[in-house]
Amino acid sequence: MRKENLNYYNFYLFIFFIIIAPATVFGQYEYKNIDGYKSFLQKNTVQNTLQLDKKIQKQYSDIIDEKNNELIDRLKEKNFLFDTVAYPYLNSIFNNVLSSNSLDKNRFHFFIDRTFDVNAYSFEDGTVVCNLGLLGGMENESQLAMVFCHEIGHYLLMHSNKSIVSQLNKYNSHEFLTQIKQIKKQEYNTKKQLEDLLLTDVFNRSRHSRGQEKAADSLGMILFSNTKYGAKTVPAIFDYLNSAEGFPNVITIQSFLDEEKITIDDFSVAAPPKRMHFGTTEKKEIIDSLKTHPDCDKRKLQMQSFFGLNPKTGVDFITGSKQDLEKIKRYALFEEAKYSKDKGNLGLYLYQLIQIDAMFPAEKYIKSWIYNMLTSLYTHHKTHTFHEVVNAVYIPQNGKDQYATLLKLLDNLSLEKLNEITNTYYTNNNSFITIIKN
Amino acid sequence: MKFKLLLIIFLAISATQGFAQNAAKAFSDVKNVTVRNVGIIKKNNIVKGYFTFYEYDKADKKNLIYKLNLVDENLNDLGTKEITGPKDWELVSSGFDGNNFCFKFYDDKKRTFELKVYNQDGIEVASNPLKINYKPSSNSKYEMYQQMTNPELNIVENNGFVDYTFNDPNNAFIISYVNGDTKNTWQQTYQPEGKSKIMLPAFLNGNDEVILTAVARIEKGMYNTKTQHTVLASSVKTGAQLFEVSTEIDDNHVVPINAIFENGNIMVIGLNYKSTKTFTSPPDGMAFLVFDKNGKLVKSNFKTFEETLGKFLPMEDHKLKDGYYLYMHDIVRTRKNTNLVIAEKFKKAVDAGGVALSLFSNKAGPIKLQLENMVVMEYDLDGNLLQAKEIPKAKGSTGVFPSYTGFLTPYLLATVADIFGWMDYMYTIKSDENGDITFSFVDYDRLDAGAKKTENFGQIKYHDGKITVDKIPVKNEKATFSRLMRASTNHVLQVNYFKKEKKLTMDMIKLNN
Repeated sequence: MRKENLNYYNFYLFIFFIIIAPATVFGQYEYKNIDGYKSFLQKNTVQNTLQLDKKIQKQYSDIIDEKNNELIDRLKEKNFLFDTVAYPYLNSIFNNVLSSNSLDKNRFHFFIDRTFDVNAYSFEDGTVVCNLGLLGGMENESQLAMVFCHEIGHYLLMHSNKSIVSQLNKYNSHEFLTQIKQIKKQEYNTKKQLEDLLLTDVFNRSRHSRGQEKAADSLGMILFSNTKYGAKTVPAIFDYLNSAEGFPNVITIQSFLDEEKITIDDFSVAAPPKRMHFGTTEKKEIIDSLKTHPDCDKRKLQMQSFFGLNPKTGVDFITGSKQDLEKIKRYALFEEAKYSKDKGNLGLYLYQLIQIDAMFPAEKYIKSWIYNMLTSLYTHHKTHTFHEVVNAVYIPQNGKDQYATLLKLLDNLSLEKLNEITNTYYTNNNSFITIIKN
Repeated sequence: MKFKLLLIIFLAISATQGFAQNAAKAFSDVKNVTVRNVGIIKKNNIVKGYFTFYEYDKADKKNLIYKLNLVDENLNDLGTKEITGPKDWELVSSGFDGNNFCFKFYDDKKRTFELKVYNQDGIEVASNPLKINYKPSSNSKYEMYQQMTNPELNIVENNGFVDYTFNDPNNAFIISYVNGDTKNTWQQTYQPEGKSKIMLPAFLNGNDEVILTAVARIEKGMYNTKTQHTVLASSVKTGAQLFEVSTEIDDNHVVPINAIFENGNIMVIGLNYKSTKTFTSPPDGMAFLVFDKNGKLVKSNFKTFEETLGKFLPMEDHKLKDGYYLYMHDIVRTRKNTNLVIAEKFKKAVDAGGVALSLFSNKAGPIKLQLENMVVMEYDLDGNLLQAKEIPKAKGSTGVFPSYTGFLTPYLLATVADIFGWMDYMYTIKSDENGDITFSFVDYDRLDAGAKKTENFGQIKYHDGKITVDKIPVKNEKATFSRLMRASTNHVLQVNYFKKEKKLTMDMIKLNN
């Protein structure tokens, strides 16, 4: 009797994956108004360029065109989410901020980036992007609204544009060009001097960026004050930003193996031995994110102080409810995982599935996905393309980084052992597994 | 053929910043570098990472500013160090002793080798320069010696680095030692009495007390082919000779391959010959010698291949069937306390009679060795063969030897072929915990029944008694050219160049075994 039921269960799952799921997924990553958006960006670039000194107009438009093209390419490559669940919800919160501040909706575009990175960002053209990864730690709509206010603040204060123009003015200045000329005249040690000049410049820019972040926070708080959202929980955003690692971490890899009764010889899930190092690593580019410039603790204090002096009462939900947000957060987790799969990062996808499975044990179909991913990894291993789908170049965040542990485990497995694990997983979960032919 | 591991790449990374043309050009120049050397950082047979040594800037009239970038075995960046040095500098090899990095530089103009040790903060903590009295590239004899001596640094676990350099190649060599932790450095010349025709040092092992070197020597004399083999023990603190002991025991002539420190004693594992002509005749079996810490022989054990191998491989008239020989490439100790031998089956492609006739007719006879399967043998500590496995590979051949070498013994030809890198065995790698031991080789065969013959990289893996094999094509199908570099066990690093895209990729390919 039980067996019959399970067969029906599998049958429904099969129907869901083969017919229903693709139908619902179809089109959710396609931006329908891409041509309109392209013209908007071009028009915006022309308008901004004309306001500048002729000397730097071409350079400015080249930079912006490059950014525009990259953004359009990312849209075409389905890096953004335009679904019928998360997008309308978040877009509605975004629009609420705009209308509460009497801002023209036509000047803005709102996108959801499918990545797990805990971040949001904006461009000089009024495009505001929220990463799916940001949703994980959001407790209510008020917090999301504050993040959007911060990004809108950057746009209204024209931070991106001002930075670009200021850099271009500097690079075209007589003083800077003379410095370069002098360095190039010298015979020895010229690269070092040029590099030092560039580093000083990057440092100055980063200091400037800290100021911009502070200003965007200040304007953001004013914009937020005009909405009907309450500010009580808003400073807590910074606690989340401070602690967020990006990856969910609810089950350790060892617990997963224990649950599946999989034993692996010669593999220790203990923290990896101390990494070798050699002096200083190559300087990385400075990346602006919500969590940087200035640090989160200071920003939290500033926000608490502002709303202490200017109390902002209001509600935490306008567009939906706590339950709606929880659904969206859950949905976001699945979408982030799917994004990893779409981008061909199968090691990360497997990790995300293991975590999602632990979070939602009732959702038995996840086991099917895990099994199918294990078989896919087996195929890649066999054809020596494993390195294409599993990221080996990854620096663990800390000794407890479970994604690093999974990568280490995958790296240690022979083809035979991977096959054994896949078969064990199938034996343990075969009642829930539907084999997807790829 | 072995692959050239040294890869000279010219990197031209252009900046794509869109600012003022002058500034853009100046800054893109900053990123133009010429890579001088790329290599592996090893801790004995364990790959710990890779180095890239590149020219960065002119320091003054005589010197350049170089950058030395290190990545770990997974290609994660470890750091970059700026070093000023002479224009003619080459980074020959590198190593990691568990605490510090050592780099062996050669300055062709000053004829100086220098071992420089850096700690993990990238600070130079010790150095040992050595000026040699000849120019290695000036004379074919010196070049030959360069090839015969392993250029790689030898690592004493957590206790520094050892290097061997010839001064007068026939009669003396110098042992150089450097330790980053104790800052201890020394050089000792080894010069036995009497002139030598050939003298070759090989690092066996070392600990915090002693460095063991195998010395092979042939005394001067036109027709002399008799070899003498000794184990030389030097104090790790001063370089002083602690003892030198011959490995000739009764009628057994042992060529030491490996040494292990065990219970206060030294166990030397080697190949045993019943003749003194160890360069020209095939070995008769394995030898296991135990010496105490003063060099006194405590125990010896000799096993012939005939009595052990015969159970596993077809033998005939005291040799492998059909005139085959086994060339022993390496012997390593497993964590199961067994000894693992990697060998390659070969035979002479043309028989001596044929060659002789071709000499009389004034025609050069093509003399080469036919290379066949790899053979892995596992011995217990008493020299009993536990298993032997032939790993099939396509028949290949070495480069062509001059016709007058036709009368030389096949084993001598194999020794020469090995020195020239003509044999298919490539290298031995171990994992950190010594759980996996892998032997790599080249194979020219079809990977699948319907596929074309390709140049393939093969890996034999030993794990707790189990021997498995995997192969991949050397060349990435889409790349203009590909090169393979050794990597941690279970992996091989494929460097691909794509001419059209002007792109260089490095793929850490995971093998199936």
